[in-house]
Amino acid sequence: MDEAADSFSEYVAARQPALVRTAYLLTGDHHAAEDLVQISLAKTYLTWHRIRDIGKVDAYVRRIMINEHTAWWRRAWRRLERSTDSIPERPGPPAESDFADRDEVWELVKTLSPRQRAVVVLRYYEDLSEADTARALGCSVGTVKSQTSRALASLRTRLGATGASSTTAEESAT
Amino acid sequence: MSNHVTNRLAESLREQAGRVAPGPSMEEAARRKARTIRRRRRITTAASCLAVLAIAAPFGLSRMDSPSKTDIAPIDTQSPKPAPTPASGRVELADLPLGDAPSVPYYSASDISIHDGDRVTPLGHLRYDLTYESTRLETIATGSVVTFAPTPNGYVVEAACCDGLGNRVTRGWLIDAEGEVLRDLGPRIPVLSTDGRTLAGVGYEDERFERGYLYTLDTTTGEELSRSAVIGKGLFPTHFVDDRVAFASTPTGPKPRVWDPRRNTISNPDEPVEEPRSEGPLLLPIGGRHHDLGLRVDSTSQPVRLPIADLLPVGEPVEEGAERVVLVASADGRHVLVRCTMDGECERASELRRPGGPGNTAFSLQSRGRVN
Repeated sequence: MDEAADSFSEYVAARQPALVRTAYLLTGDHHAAEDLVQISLAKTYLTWHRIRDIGKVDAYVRRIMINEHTAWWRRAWRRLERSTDSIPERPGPPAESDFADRDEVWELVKTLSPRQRAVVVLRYYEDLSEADTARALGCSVGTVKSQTSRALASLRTRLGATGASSTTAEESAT
Repeated sequence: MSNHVTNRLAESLREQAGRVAPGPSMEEAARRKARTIRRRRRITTAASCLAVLAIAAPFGLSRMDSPSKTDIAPIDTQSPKPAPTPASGRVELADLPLGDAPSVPYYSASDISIHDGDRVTPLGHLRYDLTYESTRLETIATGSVVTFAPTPNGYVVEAACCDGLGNRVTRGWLIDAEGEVLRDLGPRIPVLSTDGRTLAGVGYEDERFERGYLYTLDTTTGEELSRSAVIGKGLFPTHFVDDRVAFASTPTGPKPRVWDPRRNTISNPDEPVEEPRSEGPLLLPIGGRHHDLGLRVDSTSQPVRLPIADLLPVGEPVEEGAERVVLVASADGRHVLVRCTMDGECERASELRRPGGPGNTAFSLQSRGRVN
């Protein structure tokens, strides 16, 4: 095995768990996350010999993951999500025992658009700066700011609504 | 309040990430996948080279056989000669010279129309007619991303909508060149055959969307050509395989099956039914850098370096005559159509326009064989 192959093996061994975690936050699905990481690593492997700064591989893989995820969503996922002519009925209030386990914020994050979700994951999970997030997404810092602002506003509004409906449900239960 | 939300958000993301169990190493699987990708690229490149030879060889021979023929100079166009751009470094799109509008079809949000040479197909009358979370979505003008694919006498148009709804509400229409709707395709976007004459989509017999079937349409008339028996729920066609339709129920789930409309049979092929790679230019990052993107034409093995940053993923680059491509780029929140030669020289093919909202697009180019 040559030096490049060795260094790729070392990189995968060291970084795969972290990449899968990030991919899971982007996709919301364990299997899709593993698929996403695998295809991203494959594409990275194809250009591995051209990568000079190993310290920047994470950023490169992250960029591929986000582009791949956006492409998936644009092509196939949207087909599934729109395979209904009517809006699903809103679920009823959950049973009281569900409240403890349910992560309301995560449920709401999953409803964000892929772009907003990517911004949120990079900013608040990966702790990237606005400039680094913009580089990872291939957009301007201004776009990152506006997407972040919109995502937070959406979460804030929906959290408020969820909190209100939860309170109502609890009140009616008592 | 803001800190409270961001704190809860960060905490939630960390907690969810922490629940992801470490799986087996993907190294070998990634290497295998990489080899498959590389093999496909080589096959495509080889096929393209053969195609170029098949065209160029007879042409060259005919030139050799006809020494008396007079060379005819190419027709002068009104487009200014593309200005040379530096081989590296970021180029300000606003500084590029402005050339002619593209001769390939493109969608412009400024007049909500598809332009194809002198032909303008209006889309502003296409309506979502949908109520969702108290937001009344009226026309395609509220759509954030409009994409289209040409048919022999019109287009299949898809609009994803809307700001605040996560771009998850979509509608499709089959229209003629005047914009008249031949068929409302609803929220289930279909696929097109390679010649654009046939469209395959999904319909449901029941309101619970469990009794799904596939159908094909004649895109010139909008008339249904064939319909399968009821297959099930969660269907979506993925691509055409000759006259047959490959379909699946999840993007990464069960192996695609194939519906043969002529025999009205459904088969589970032994060989993988892979979607053919789109032909034509591809964009790819060069050397792992994020700002300079390369453009590779299949007939050439080496990437051409384009100094355009922030390319928009709206449609793919489209070849415009020989040795030129048109693509959509963005800069500082404004979008623009850019024309580049294979030498890496670029000019603007439109004014810079600001899209209607974040995530929206001011322009899009045609898709090949499918709408998205």
